[in-house]
Formats: sequence, structure tokens, C-alpha cells
Amino acid sequence: MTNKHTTGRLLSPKRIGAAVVFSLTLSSVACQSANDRLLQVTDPDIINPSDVLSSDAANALAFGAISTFKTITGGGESTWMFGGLLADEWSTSSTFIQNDETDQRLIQENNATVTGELRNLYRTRQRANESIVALNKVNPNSRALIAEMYLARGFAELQLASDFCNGIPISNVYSADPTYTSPQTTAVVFGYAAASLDTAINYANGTDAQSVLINRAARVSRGRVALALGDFANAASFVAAVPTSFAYQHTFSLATTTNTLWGQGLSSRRYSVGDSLEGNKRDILVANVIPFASAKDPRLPVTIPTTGAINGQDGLTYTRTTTMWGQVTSVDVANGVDARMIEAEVALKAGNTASWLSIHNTLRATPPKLGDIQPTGLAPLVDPGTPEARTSLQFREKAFWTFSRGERLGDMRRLIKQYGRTELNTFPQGVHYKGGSYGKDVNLPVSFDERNNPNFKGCIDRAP
Amino acid sequence: MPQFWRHCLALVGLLTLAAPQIRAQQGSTGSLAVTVTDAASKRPVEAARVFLVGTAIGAPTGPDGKVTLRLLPAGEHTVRVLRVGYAEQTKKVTIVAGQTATLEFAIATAAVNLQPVVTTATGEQRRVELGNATANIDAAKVLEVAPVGSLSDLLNSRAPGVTVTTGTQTGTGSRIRVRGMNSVSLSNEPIWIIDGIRMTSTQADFNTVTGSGGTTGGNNASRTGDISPDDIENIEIVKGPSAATLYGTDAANGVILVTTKKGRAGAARWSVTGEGGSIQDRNYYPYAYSIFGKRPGETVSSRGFCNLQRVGTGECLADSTSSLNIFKNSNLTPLDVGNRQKLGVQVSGGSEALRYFLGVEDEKEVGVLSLPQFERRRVDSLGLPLRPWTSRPNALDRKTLRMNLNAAINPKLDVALTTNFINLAQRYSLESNATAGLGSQVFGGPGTTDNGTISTVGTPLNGYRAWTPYYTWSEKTGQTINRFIWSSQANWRPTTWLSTHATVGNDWTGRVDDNLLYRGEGPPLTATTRLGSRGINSVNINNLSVDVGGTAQYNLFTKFSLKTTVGAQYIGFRNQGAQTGSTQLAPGSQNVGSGTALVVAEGTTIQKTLGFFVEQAVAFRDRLFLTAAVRSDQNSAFGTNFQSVLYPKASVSYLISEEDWWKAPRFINSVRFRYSYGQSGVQPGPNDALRFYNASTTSVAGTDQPTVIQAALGNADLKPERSAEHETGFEVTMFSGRVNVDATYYSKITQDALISAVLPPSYGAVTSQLRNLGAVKNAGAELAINTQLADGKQFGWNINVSGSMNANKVVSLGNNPPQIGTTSRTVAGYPIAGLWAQPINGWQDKNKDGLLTYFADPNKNEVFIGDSIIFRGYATPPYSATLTNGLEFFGRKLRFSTMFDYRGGNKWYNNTERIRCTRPNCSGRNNLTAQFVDQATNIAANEAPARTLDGYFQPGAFVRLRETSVQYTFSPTLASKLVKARSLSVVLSARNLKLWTKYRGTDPESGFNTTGTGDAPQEFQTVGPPSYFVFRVNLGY
Repeated sequence: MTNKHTTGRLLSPKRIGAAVVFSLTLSSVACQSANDRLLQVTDPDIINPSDVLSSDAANALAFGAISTFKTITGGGESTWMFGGLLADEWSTSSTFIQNDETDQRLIQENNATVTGELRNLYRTRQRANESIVALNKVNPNSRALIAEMYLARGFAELQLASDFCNGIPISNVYSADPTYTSPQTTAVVFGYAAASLDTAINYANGTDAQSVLINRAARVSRGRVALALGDFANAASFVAAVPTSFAYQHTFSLATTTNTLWGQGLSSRRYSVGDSLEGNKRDILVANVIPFASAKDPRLPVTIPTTGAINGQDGLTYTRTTTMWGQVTSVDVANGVDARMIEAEVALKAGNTASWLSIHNTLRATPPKLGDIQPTGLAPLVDPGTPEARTSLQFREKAFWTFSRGERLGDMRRLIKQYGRTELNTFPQGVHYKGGSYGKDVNLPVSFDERNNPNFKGCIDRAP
Repeated sequence: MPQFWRHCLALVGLLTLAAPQIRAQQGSTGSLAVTVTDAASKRPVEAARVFLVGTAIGAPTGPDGKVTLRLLPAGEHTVRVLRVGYAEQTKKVTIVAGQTATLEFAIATAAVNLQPVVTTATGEQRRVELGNATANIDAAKVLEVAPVGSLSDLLNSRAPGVTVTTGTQTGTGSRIRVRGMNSVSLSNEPIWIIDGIRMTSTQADFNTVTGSGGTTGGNNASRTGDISPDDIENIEIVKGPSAATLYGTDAANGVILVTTKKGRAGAARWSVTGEGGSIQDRNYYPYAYSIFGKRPGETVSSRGFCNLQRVGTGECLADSTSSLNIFKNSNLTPLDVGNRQKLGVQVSGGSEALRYFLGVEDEKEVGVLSLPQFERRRVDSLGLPLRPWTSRPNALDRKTLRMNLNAAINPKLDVALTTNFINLAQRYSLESNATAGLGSQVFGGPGTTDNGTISTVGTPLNGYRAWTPYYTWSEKTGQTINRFIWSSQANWRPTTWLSTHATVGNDWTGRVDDNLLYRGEGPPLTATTRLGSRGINSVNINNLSVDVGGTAQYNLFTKFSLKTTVGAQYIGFRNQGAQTGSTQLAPGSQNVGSGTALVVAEGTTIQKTLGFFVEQAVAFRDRLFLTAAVRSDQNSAFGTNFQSVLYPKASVSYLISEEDWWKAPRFINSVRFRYSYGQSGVQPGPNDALRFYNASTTSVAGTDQPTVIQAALGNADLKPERSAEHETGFEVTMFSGRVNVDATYYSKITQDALISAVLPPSYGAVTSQLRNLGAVKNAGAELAINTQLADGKQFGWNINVSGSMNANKVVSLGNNPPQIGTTSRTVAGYPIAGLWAQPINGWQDKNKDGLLTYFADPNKNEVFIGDSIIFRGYATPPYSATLTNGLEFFGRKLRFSTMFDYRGGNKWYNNTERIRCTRPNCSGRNNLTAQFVDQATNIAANEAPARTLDGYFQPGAFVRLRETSVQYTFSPTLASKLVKARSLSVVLSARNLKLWTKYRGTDPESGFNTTGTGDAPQEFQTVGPPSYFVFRVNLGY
């Protein structure tokens, strides 16, 4: 029982209490008017879109696009390496299942490394596009740089079509806000590459050194696209004016990024130079492949260990290494050798065997530097006598000249599509030294992540 | 800002309006002197809380069991006494102005210890008034007897619905889940509050810009692990949104409230504890196998090509199998006995006006990892340097200093100050997922010690995969912490019906991560690894809390007591780090500046939250308690199109057994029903809403140039996840308080679940974008039965059983497709991060060769795999149960206690075995006498086109004897005689003593990514949890 003097029942405190509570609530609400400023956060790590509107910023965006461009060549674990695993340039000596299954030609759709490579190819396009818009707005006279952006875009499209399956979602209409695109055949994507590279050629029409450099790089890449599209007649014309000594390079430095072909190969020993004899005892014969390691070709010096003195990252595989690249060795994205290989193939296709042999033997007599390697002069080739053998020789020569530069997988696919070969007589076959046997893959799958695009339901097919 | 403060100061101004009322009351007040004694022993009861019912007035008793409440309004009052371990008691008293009334309470012990008062966001509250379940851990009591080395040990298995999984290295953090997982993409860790302020509890807190991967490769430190358990008085766990509403955005995963020890009035009382013990690895580890055989046509047997599949297909003729278990070989094993020591001194005392608590502690622990004997001999014979981190790579050294002060300035105002300084130095072994780590080497070698030498270095491998522990542990991976946590609190009670509080505090952590590898040392991981590396990461973490509020209590008519609380809270979190590192050091140098390849980086994370709440509580005849509240939050991480969020809550608690009409069997003492509903949220990351770019550099045509690259798409509509929970339950006390049953059912759904939506690569943008898309449901039940079966003078026996189950389901992923990982998937209709695979449906040795072999021809094939990828099980245990048993003898001076822990209903991914089969050295691939289950597992993963990992998803259920102890408490006389102490007890305890499981790996609690943010933990080349054997002495003066 309580009486009216009991604590808490006094009328006055109750009213005051209610008033105070009400006031507190009101005051709290009033405090919110200042909340925006109280909650304001400035993060020094980020750059706002409003900060990238200047001329300097447009250049920085373009350099960002080049930085991404490098991730699809020698500055990242790109299709230059994974395409080489799937083809015959590299063998796996890593612990990563993603590498093993690619080498075994049994690639899962959710292969994380392939996904990363695919993303970088698309990012190169998108960032190049973004830079083109920015440069045209504030630096329209930077035609060589704009041309380089078109080159980056076209090269990414070329690599996408060369390495991935039919059904690559893509559009050649740029949107600042990404949109869902529809799957295209590799032929269509090669067409996009052609358009991008043609624009690059048009933009790089100056006589300054940079314009000439980009123009030649675009022409070489355009010539490769023409070959892929079966446009042999025009392929040679694109590269006719490109000197053999020319090279458009991606460069590296210790303070930024280093050469991944070196990092994953010689340094980490996760990749072993491909060969026809696998296994530590070199007693597992792999059919169809070029014996890059045991060929002892001066264009690709390889150390072949016979003991576990130089094991791979997996701790098991006697890893075959090459000193072609050092930590900051530049890589040729497009060069004069590519131009000559295009011309040689066109000549061969046209039945001009003499010209074909001449192009090769001229190059072999005075080989240009490849990475850190300056090959000695090579003995001239002799006509093997049959079209089939000439085709094999053409592609073998090209494989040594362009080792791990993202061309071999596309060329093996072309052998099937354009030269009547089959998967069974083109791609590695037999028992795989890490277990099981080689599978059937002849290209990289567009990754599972792409299924977040409602227009994409998987590769249209896995045909070459 | 000035405007903000003007508004907020208005708050204080309004409160001061009440001051005249105080002065008006002072002329009609009196005092009350209360004495509380134990009804049986007649001894004074310390720390009993004495409340004047319906007011804000209350205070604890001192060591003499006495407390005086002053400035009480004249009139009749009800006084309530609450004390853990005792039954609640109330009495009426009449206060006469200008006089001191006296009141004596003789309170009876309750057989079962339940905390009668719990800490809530609005202050301390009687447990029976809450509409939701709370879990309380009496830390001081647990520490007296249990082998507790860390805060996570203290939490583990002591609260139903709270699952703790701890990293296995000394000093690594824990993964804590309260009532399952709410979020698909955000952290599911609860938040921590210590003495009223937000405590930094970041996980995986280690990284450097150089070194082998920049992390430990496995579990890392967690900032909750910095806190010394001995400083803690108790821990309360607020389990779900229904209870955590007023803690606001970020509280949906639960709130862990830590209250540190406070001083108690009286003469100085010293407490000295000493602890020492050993740490042993008693786990099972698998053998490595190699097959020696010949290919057709070969004459010399060798290892490498042959495996069971190739034997089965005839590609190889097996000669023999060799096996090796490095862990079982005393010469090769990287394990040795670790050790642990701790010395702590605490003193508490003071007057009613000023109480103090001081504590200082020094703790050292050396984990079980140790350089193998064969390495020590080699190092010795070659005169190689043997650095401390190479000899014992995993160690911890922690020093803590705590000072807590409580001052009663006057009867209406008391202030408190808590301070805690922590110095922690620890180092870890590179493990698990570090290529250079121990796990990759010790689990990856063949079934023979004759496996050659380390590449390019020439040292014999002795069965290790690519290099030996000396090379791995040449790299130091260390962390130093200096941390200062302080909070100050003022409680002002201007009138008997109004109390206000203000808490300000800050948790500052200065963290330095470092790695060091001298030139010429370490593994030949890459061409430059052995050229040396040095990295330093200096991080400052600041967590500022401001919490103000007021509570008005008043009665309505005679039967209703009302309480209105308003409050505001500000949390400002800032993490700022600068990293520097270099590789290719000068010979002998350990200085970053000597490296030829320099790396620098900077990172800042800032997040601010401002919240307001109002709560109205109504008590009807002290048996029916209704509460309703709402909280509004704004956060710097919300999208620009989303300003604030409102979280409502309501609850009812009904002490039905207090009703006159209540009829129940006599053995039932009290029954309470409760129900609560509430919402809470989890905020997105600081920059998740923003579209922004990052800067870097790249070499263009041979010149390094600055670059700008889009780093995030942002989402202007981003808002916090909102979890809404219904919880209901009951508590029954029976048999004179000897049995207490507490049952709870909850169902919570998280709407607007933040999903890190994977963007199609063709976007050409970032990998993911955070979106509010999904919904996640958690439903479950919790049961706790606490019993005191015997409570005599000579003998006591208590058994406590608790259990919980949680069903987790992703209700919707919005427009997103399933989130697919290699082994786990998040699919609508299934648990978050469930395990998925094409199932192994069976096997049959058709050709009776004793081997299972894959054949493309289904007529010959011997391992049968389902066509579709299907759900295979939870990745973490949905069921748990704990049984604790305590027996006391000899005047209850000798106490035996055990804790058995069950967890199950899940599968545990044995990723160690998966990678062993690819090394290859697992039994299923290389052991001619392997069990079929192991053979089928390997065939399904590595030979059949399905490449399914199903066989590595293994039964995760286990029973563990987690804790056991024997304690002897000496009589005061003997304690005085032996060590001149007021009290003396000795404890021998053990942790992780025995495991029963069908799991085929090392331990179904062993996870390499326990402290990661993901929710699919797995064993991966991880050394298992060790066993602790600890002797402890507790002295009181």
C-alpha cells in the first residue's frame, strides 16, 4: 500500500517527468538537423568522380586503362599464360587446381583464374572506352593516346575471341553505366576488334613517334584479326609497312608491377615450358605438341632438370624454365615478327612457297631480340614438300617466335577451323602426368560469373 | 558543428530544469541503512544490490553487507535486494524526514545461480522484467576453476545459441555466431560493448605489404583476444534483434556486453593468481602414402606415376606402398610441448565515497610449434642462425594494467572511470594457406623421407613437401599491440524519479604488424624470396563512444509503475594504417630502407553512427512487464538516397506464478512467460554506397605514371540490413529453486539483406556491388536446465544442461542468381554458405581386385556419382549441447567439474585431405589397403569427370570433453597458516582433453579460416587445437 506522498506518485514530478521526456525527445530530433555534418566522412583513400574531370585526370584514366591492358598481356596471369597451358606452350607445375585442370583441358566453368582473366579483358575494354570519352572531352588533340585506347580495346577483343568459346557477351556500344550485353560468336567479336583497331589506325595518323608506334601496333593487331576472320587477302596489307624491328611494348618496374611471365614461370616455377615428353622421368609422351623444351631452339632456351634440384611450386615437377624474361623485362604486345608471320602465312595460303620460305629464312638469319634473349642466327628452313607439312612448319615457326604471347591457342583453333585439322591431331592427347588423361577443351569457357547477366546461359558451344 | 552542440546542450539544459525540484525535495528527505546477511550463515553478503522500488535509487552493499541510501523522500517505500546466488527479497519501509531508517535482510541462497540483474541499453534492469532471454557468464567465478586462456575460452559453450570456434594457434581469434547467420555478404560477428562503450572487435587483424602473402595464411589475431579474461566481472550476451534493438544498426548479430571488475568499499583486498601449465598437441594426423610400381615394360620400380586408379586400369603394376606420418616421428615432427604462465595481482577497496580496483597481469604462452630435432641438429652442425621465431614460431606475451574508480560525489551523483592498458606481443607461424607455410609442407610430402632435397638449396627434405620448417620459420610474422581503453560514466539522479547518465569513452589500439626475412634465408618460394623482405604495418584504430540518456520512473494509480527512457548514442570508428615494406634487402639488414624494391600503402576506414531512442516500460503489480521502444539511426555508410532507419521493439514478461489465482503443483516455485519482438540492423561498409576511383602507378613506355581506375560502382540506395525477430519462452523454477528451466524459441528474418552481388565480367567493372536484395531466416530453440541436485554442507552436486538448434535459410536472393563458390553456395531455400556437390551415391568393387576404379564404361565403373549438384549439408553446426557437471566433497572444499560439448548436424569440409589427394599422398589415392570410402572420395574428386568434392564433406558432429578441473579450497585457517592468506585455492584443469567424432580429418573444429569473414569454415592444412593442462593458485589477502 502506498499513500499519496509515496515517491513517484507526486503529481508534480510526473508532469515534470513527462515534460522532460518530451523535451528530450524534441531536442533529440533537433539534434538530427546537425547530423549530416556530424556523420560526414572524408575517406582519403578514394577519388570521387568529380575529381576526374580535368586534363590531367583524363591522362591518368588513360594510364589506368594501359595499366589494365598490361594485365591481359605480361603484367598479369593472363590468357597469355592460361591459353598457353591449354595449348602446348606451358605445362603445370603448380599446386593450383585451376592451372592443373586447364593444362588437362578439363576446365570448370567456375575456374577462378579464368574468371579473373576474363574480367581483366572486359575491364580493359571498359576503361579504354571511359578514357576515350574523357580524352575527347578535355584532351581531344591527344590523338596518339586516344588511338592507344582504341588499340587496347581492340586488342582485348582480339584476345577474347582468340581464347574463349562462342558466346561472348559483348557490345560495341559504350555505356558509362554497365549494361547487360548479349552473347556473340567469336567471329562477331573479331569483327568488333577489327572496328576498334581500324579506329586506332585512323586516330594514329600523325608523324610523331608515338603516333607511328601506335599505328604500327594497331596494324599488326588488325592483321591478326584479318587472319582470324580468314581475310588473308587483306591481312598482309595491314602489316606491309611495319618494319621487322618494330615493337610496341608493355613495360614494368620494381616500383609498380613486374613481368608475370617471369613471376609465374622462372621465379615461382608454377609453369613449366611445354614439351612432348612429360613426367620427371620424361617418359610420358604427349601427342601433337611442339617440344618447346627439348627442341633446343635458340629462340627459347630452356633448362631441363633431370633431378629435383629445381622443382616446381608443387614440389614435385622437375620444372623446365626459360630465362627469356627477367623481373622487369618488357613484353612485346605487337611487333615486326608478328607482321612477318602474317605475311608468311598469307604467302603460304596463296601457294607462294618461295616467298613463304624467304620471309622465314630472312627472319631466321637475323633474328630480333625476344625478351631478354638475343637468338643466334638460325639455319634456313627447307621446304618440307607438302602443303600439310608446310602448314605445320609455318605454325611451329610462329609458335617459337611468339612463345607465350597469347597467339598459340588462337592459332591451334585456326588450324582446326581454317586448315582442316581436328582436335585429336592438334591439341595435346594422352595420359596427363598429374593423373588422368587430357580432356577435350579447345578454348576457355566464359565463366560462371557471367550467368549474372540474364542474357547469358553459358557458352553457345565449345567448338574451335 | 556549433549548431549541433547547441541542440545537444539544450538536452542538458532541460535536465537542469529538474534541479529546483531537487532542492525542493531536500527538506523532506531521510536515509535508509540496509544490512544484508546470509540467512543460513548469518554472514554479511557483499555486492547485494539494494533498490528503492519505483525510483532510480540503488546501491550495492560493501564487504560488511551494509549500504546507506540517502536523500530518500519521506514516505513509505518498497526496498528490494538482489544478489546472484540468492533469492530476491523485498520489504517495506517508512522514511521519516531527517531520520535514518534501518532495514535488515536475511537472504536465502538460491540453489541455482542466475543473474538477477542484467545490463540493458537503458541501464541495469531486473532480469524478470525483460521480455527476452539473456545469457550471463559469471566470469570471475568461471575463471576460478576453468582452464580459460582467452576471452573466447570464456564464452565457449557457456551460453545456448552462442557458437564459438577458435583458431588453433596461440593468440589467434575466434569466430562467434549468435543464433546463426543473418547476412549473406556482411559480417555475422556480434558487436562488443565494454563498460558502456563500443569495443573494437575487428577480425583477421594482420597484414603486411611484403612477406609470404602478407598474412599468416591462416587464422589471425582478433582484437577481442587482447582483453584479459581476469579483468572481467561478467559477460552478458544479448542474442537477437528482439533484445538488441536499442543498440541500433550493427547489433542484429547480437551484442556481447562486458563488465569489468569494480572496487568494493572496505579495506584493501588483494587477490593474487598464479598459473602455469603445458600445451600439448594430442590430435590425429593422417599418414602420407606413396605407391612404388612399374609401368608396363619397365623393370625398375619407382614412385610418381602409379596410383590406385592406374593400378586398377592396368597402367601400372604396384609393388608396394610406403607411408610416413611426420607428426608421429619424434625426429621430424614440428610439434613439441608448449607452455603457459600467468601471474596476476588485483586489489580492490575504498570507501562508499570512492572505490577502486587495480589489476596487473603478465601472461606468457608458447604454442606447440617447434623446430624439429633434425633441423636443430643441422642448424647446430652448420652454425646457422637460430632465431627465436624460427625455434618457437608461435608465442604470446601479454601485459595488462587496469584501474577502475567509482566515486559517489553525493547521493545524487556518482561517477566512474575505467581504464585499461594492454601491451601484447605475439608471433605466428605461417600456416595453412600460405604457400611458404608449414601446413603445405608437413601435409604435402610423400610417404617416404627419401624425397630429395629442397630446390636450389640442397637441404634434405626428410618427407616434407618442398622445404622444411627451418625455411618456413625463418620468416618472422609478428604483431605488437598497445591498447588503451577508457570510459567515464556519470550517473545523476536529480530526483528520485529521474536518473540520467552520460558515458564517454574511447578504445584506441596501436597495432604494428611486421614481417622480417633476412637476405639469404627462407624458402626458395620465388627467385627473389631469399633476397630478404621486411614489412611494417602501423595501424591506429579508434572507437569513440558517446552515450547519454535519461530515465523517468513514476507510478500510475496504484498498480502501474512506468519508466520512460530516452537516449542518444554516437559511435565514431576510424582505422588508419600506413604500410611500408621492401624486398631484396642488404645482407644482414632488417631495415626497410635497405631494400631495393620498396612498397608503400595507406588505408583509412571511417564510419560514424548516430542514434536516438525512446523506450516506455510499464509494470503492472510487479508481475506483468510491458516494454515498447523505437530507435532511429543514421550512419555515414548509408546511401545518399537513404537517410535514416527506424527500429521498433516491444516485449512482455509475465510472472504468472505471482497471480493469486495461479494453481500449480507445490514443487513449482515460479513460472514466467515472455515474448518480445524487435528489429535491428547491420550496416554496410564505409564506402559501399559510393562510386569512386582509386589511384596507383604503372610503368608506361618505361616511365612510371600515376593512374586512376574505377574501384567501385557504389549504390546510392544502399541501406542497412534489417533483422526482425520474434522470441518467446518461459522460465520455471522448481524444487525450492534447485531446478531452473529456461526455454526459448525465436524466429528472425533479415530483410533488405545485403548481398555482394556478383557482377557479370562483361560489365567490365568491379567484381561485385553491394545491394539490398535478399532475405534470410533463422529460427531456432534454446533450452537451459540448471540443477542443484545436492546442496548439503559436505556434499554438493550440480548439473547444467543447455542446448540449441538453429535452422538457417536464405529466403530470397532478390534478382540475383545463386552465389556459387567451389564448395559452398548461397541458394534461396537453403542455408547460407551450404555445402553443395554432385553426391557420391555408392561404390562397388565389381572386379573384386580390392580397388575402386573409374571407368568411362558404366558397366565397369566402380564409383557411382549423381548427375546433379545438390545440397549436402550445413557448413557449420546447427545443433549444440553442453553438459556441465560439478561435484563437491569434504565440506565442499574439493570440487570436480567437467564440461562435455556436442555440436552436430553439419558437414565439415576436409580440405586438407582434398589437397593431399592432389599432392598426391592421401590414402584413397596411394594406399593399396585404403578403405573404400577413401578410394571413392579420391576417384570422385580426381578421376571421374564430375570432379566432385562430396567425399571431403565429412560428418561434422562431435562430442568433446572440453573442460575438466579439480579445485581444492583451503579453509581460512589453513590458508592463513600456510601462506598467511585470507583465502587459498588450487586448481588443476585441462582443456580439449578428448574428442569423439566420425570426422575423418584432424578435428571438426579445426578451421584455417576461422577468423575470416566467410561462413564456410574448413580444415585446410591446419594443425589441430591443442590440449591445455594448467595448474592455478588463487590467493586472497
